[in-house]
Amino acid sequence: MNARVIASGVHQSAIHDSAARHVQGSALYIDDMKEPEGLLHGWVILSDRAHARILMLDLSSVEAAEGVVCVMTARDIPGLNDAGPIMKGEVLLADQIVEHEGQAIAIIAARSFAQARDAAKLVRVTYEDLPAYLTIEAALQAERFVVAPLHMQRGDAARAIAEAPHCLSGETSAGGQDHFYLETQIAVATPQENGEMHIFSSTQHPTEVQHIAARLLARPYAAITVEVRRMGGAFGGKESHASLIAGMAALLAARCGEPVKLRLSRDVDMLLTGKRHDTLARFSVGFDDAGRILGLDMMIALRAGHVADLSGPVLTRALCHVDNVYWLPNVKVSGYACKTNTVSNTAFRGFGGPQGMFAIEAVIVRIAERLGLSSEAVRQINHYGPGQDTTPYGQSIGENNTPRLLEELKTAADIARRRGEIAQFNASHPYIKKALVTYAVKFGISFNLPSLNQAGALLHVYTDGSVHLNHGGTEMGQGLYVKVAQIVASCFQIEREHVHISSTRTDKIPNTSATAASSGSDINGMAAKAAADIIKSRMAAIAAAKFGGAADDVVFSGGYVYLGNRSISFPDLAQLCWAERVSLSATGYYRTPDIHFDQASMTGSPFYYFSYGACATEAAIDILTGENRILRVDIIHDTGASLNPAVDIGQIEGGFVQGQGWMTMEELVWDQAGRLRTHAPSTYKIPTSRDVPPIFNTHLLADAPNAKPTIFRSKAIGEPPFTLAISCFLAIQEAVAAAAGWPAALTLCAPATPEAILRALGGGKEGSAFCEQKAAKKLF
Amino acid sequence: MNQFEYELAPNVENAVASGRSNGAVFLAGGTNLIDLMKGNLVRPTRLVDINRLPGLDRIEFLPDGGVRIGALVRNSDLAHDPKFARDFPAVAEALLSGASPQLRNAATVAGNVMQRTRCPYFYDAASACNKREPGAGCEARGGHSRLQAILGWSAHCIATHPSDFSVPLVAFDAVVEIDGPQGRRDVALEDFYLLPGNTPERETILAPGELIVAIRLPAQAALFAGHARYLKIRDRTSYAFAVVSAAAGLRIEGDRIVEARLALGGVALKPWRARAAEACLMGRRAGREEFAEASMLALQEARPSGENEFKIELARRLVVRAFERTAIDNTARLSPLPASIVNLTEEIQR
Ligand SMILES: Cc1cc2nc3c(=O)[nH]c(=O)nc-3n(C[C@H](O)[C@H](O)[C@H](O)COP(=O)(O)OP(=O)(O)OC[C@H]3O[C@@H](n4cnc5c(N)ncnc54)[C@H](O)[C@@H]3O)c2cc1C
Ligand code: SF4
Repeated sequence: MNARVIASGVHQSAIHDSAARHVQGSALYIDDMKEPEGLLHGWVILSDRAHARILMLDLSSVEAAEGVVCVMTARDIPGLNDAGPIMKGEVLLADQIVEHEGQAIAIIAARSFAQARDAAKLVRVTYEDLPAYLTIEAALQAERFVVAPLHMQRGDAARAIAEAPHCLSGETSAGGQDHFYLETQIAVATPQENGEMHIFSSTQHPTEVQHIAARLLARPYAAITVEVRRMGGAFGGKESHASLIAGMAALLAARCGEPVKLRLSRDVDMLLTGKRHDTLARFSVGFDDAGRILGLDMMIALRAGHVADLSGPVLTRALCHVDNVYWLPNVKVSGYACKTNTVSNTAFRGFGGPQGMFAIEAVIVRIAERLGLSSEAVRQINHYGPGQDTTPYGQSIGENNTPRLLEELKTAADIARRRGEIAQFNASHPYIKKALVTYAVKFGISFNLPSLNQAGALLHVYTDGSVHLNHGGTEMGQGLYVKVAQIVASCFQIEREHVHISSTRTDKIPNTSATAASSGSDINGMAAKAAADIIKSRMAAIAAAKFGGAADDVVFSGGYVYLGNRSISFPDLAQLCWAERVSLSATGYYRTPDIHFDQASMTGSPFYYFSYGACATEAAIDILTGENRILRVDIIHDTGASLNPAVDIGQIEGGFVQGQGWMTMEELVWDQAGRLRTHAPSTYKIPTSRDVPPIFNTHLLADAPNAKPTIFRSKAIGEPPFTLAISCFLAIQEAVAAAAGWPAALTLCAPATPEAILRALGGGKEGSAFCEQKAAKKLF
Repeated sequence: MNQFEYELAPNVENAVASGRSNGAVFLAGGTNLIDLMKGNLVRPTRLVDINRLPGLDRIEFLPDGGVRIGALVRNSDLAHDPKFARDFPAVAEALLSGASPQLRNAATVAGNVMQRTRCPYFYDAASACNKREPGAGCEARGGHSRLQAILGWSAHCIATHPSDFSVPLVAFDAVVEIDGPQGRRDVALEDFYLLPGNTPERETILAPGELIVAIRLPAQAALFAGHARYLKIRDRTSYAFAVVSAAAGLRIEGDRIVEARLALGGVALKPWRARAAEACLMGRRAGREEFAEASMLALQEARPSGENEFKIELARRLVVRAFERTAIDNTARLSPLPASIVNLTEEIQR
């Protein structure tokens, strides 16, 4: 048999399928597409109050403005005014009551974008203000929650704390984060005949856009087709909130009978759509002399915003990640999704996981401070190990790659030598202080809700041997399409150039899940493989008949199909199948096995497996200006047998830097009236290329195929590396400790902006040199 | 965007004549003006394109040691001119600390000096702003004001001037050469900018039709070549306006300071020259205590205009830092200049 194998299948570093077109500008995003004749431009009229009753809404001047074709309010919605992805009653357009500044109260369509935007300014609204709850604290006190509080429990935390040699209480908080995808939210809805509607939507969840558009229009799902070729970034922000924009475009298009494009400006995007949940955590912990956690009682509160949206599952995932890589024998975690009069927060890379993982680190450093130990030692002693390897929700962690990652990191990052150098540097430099931390993460892979873990794919093999690939996953720049194409190429053993990628459409693959939870290649890859296997078995039967042998002995390899010493090229076999009247088209379907979760008791095995990573992060702070830099980062990440190492490294680097932004510079500021004051890049700072650590080494854990039979034994990559960037905060905090001592450093909260660093250096005290501390809060 | 007329001015005389008409503005690199037009924040009825004005794109080194910079010289061309960077290092540093390479390639020096404030409320058409609409009110007051002024502000406007370039220019006594309907005049850059007072809509002394043709730095400015720095504190490593910045220069003879210069950026609606601080250093040693004293004087009149009290102390610390870095002979560092100045990497390598 010939030993030829293909060169562009799985485990190869293939460049992104659109990379060249991205650079040339020929990869089309929705706003780049040729506009259909008669296209109207949509725009949204926003509330400028946080919580108010609309006494009078006068749209007459808007309607009369030049170019305006139609204006719609809640009352003009033919179906249900409901855009809730999970819960009912989350209105698309405010009806009488507005619940956050920036909430949509009316939508308009005009002949040009500028006309639509200018007309919107002519609205006249009279409000009667209602009491607004703007902070987590205010909502907690008033017990305003968007979903019932969650409680996860193992053992007897209260008793373990009471009986422990040491105990302490503490509090920490982390800010929210805007997705800041480069392509703002956009949709183009085009009415078809017979009341049907086609929608181009920049969405991670075409099926949900389909469902919500159908609900708004009072049409069956089958009447709505949603299509997405690619998004210019999404990060969770286009999971449930893309349906708001697409829903509005669909309503306007249906009303006007013309295609409508709705593209948000950056400001409106930031005002109207949700962000990462900011977090407040409070805890009591009991521990022994070595720093071992014996009992932990923690409260995690997220700012959910005005409606539930995805806050329930986000909170569940936060609770499921409090343990990170640590064994918590007796633990109670309570979660609150606080209802506030701010925009509803939503999915964002990590989906609550980072918030839970951030919270436990506050416990670790406080234990270290109390015992006079290094935080490193306290992390180490609490790691999961043999016999101590079940999570608080009762899932065994399975293979534990943390020890290996940390061991390999020691040499890769030259940690011992650098620690010495840093100590010397800190002793001699008057105002720059550095710190180096090592940090390990574990991230659960699968949607927490088992039913979401399913996917479909559609494959056609044509008689020239070329293959048309379609699946339910969406491309947001993360490289999903190229990975699934590599999978199909490997299955058929044909080079990837023969596999043609096509846009995701609800009329090709129905009832899909969002491309989210890092699950894209895991589940869609498996579905594509299933489809390929079906077609391959049909082709093998024809080859077996032709060559005289058993179909089981047929081998696909290097563009040929072999049986014994006979062979036929893949295209010739495809042609032969056609001649023999055998179907070369198949759908594939996959559902993740072995997962279950009981939401009531918060126990089960919700994750098919865990992804691991570790990093060593060195930061420096300037104690006089508060500036910080991340100087060097070494990462070793567990991607199983990587489907595409180049794409995975890109995801690790990008995820890390995005997390760095969350932890060090991105700050959302609301004023006392509940108005978001940071809704443009002028006031909201994301990292730039110059903030990328100057030394940034990323390695994939070698020879570590997934113990679970995932697609070619790979592991998911989208979210886990984001969480590694918590180390940026930890390193900055250690640098503050090096300058001003641990008690001061413990007052630091995220994001560690220059002002926050200065405040912490001043011990976070009232009237300290720079900023007033937030009013001192009582614990529990 | 609104309708406007566009005119390519062939020479200064025509430009000035066209610039006089109501609603006319000059278009240079357009990196600021076009943004403002797109946001519907300014609505000129006529754009007078000055990019082809002959002779305005030259850097002339004057026989006395000064330099005359044509209004159309691009920010990058000036910063990367080897002689200019050697003689006026703080100015080159300031230029390179601003915006991004692409923007600096397009932006002109006059456009930089003339750029409008970055007050977020000025940029938000939905907010009240006295600068955009006199008498409308100022939403920055009581709003998100961490980047607003701590010096020279008024109840009507608390914005700051965003230019980095202008800060060392003011420190080193730059002069603006103006051509206009009434002929030519020279004005010190420090006096060119107006503080907000009751009329925040008036930002400079330019009268309708008046055009900047050049910016001059006097020969004395080059005497600071060995000891001049521009330090900028910002929220991230690049592509951000200053929270506070400082341009400092020292002339040192033996162990004594014979002359000091200091201007602060990001603190007021114009670069803030700190003459009392300069004076107190005369004849003194270049030491931390002296610089600390100067820093107190520089911020003597500062008061917060909102949630920005921290900037006062931050500016003091920056002044000390700027002078300390300036006191070190920096000739060795001059080529190539680092683009980012308060640069921890640089501090760490010290
Ligand atoms: C994203 C971004 C980041 C930036 N960051 C920084 C920064 O960090 N630091 C910084 O200092 N700057 C920064 N800038 C501002 C940048 O420096 C200015 O936009 C630029 O210098 C303006 O020059 P221009 O030639 O493009 O001016 P234009 O946009 O053409 O004009 C600006 C104004 O000057 C007037 N004008 C131009 N030439 C003349 C003349 N000869 N006589 C009279 N009036 C004239 C115009 O009428 C207009 O009102 C940034 C800009 C952007 C867009
Ligand atoms: S500070 Fe000045 S520029 Fe800003 S809103 Fe007030 S008046 Fe306008």
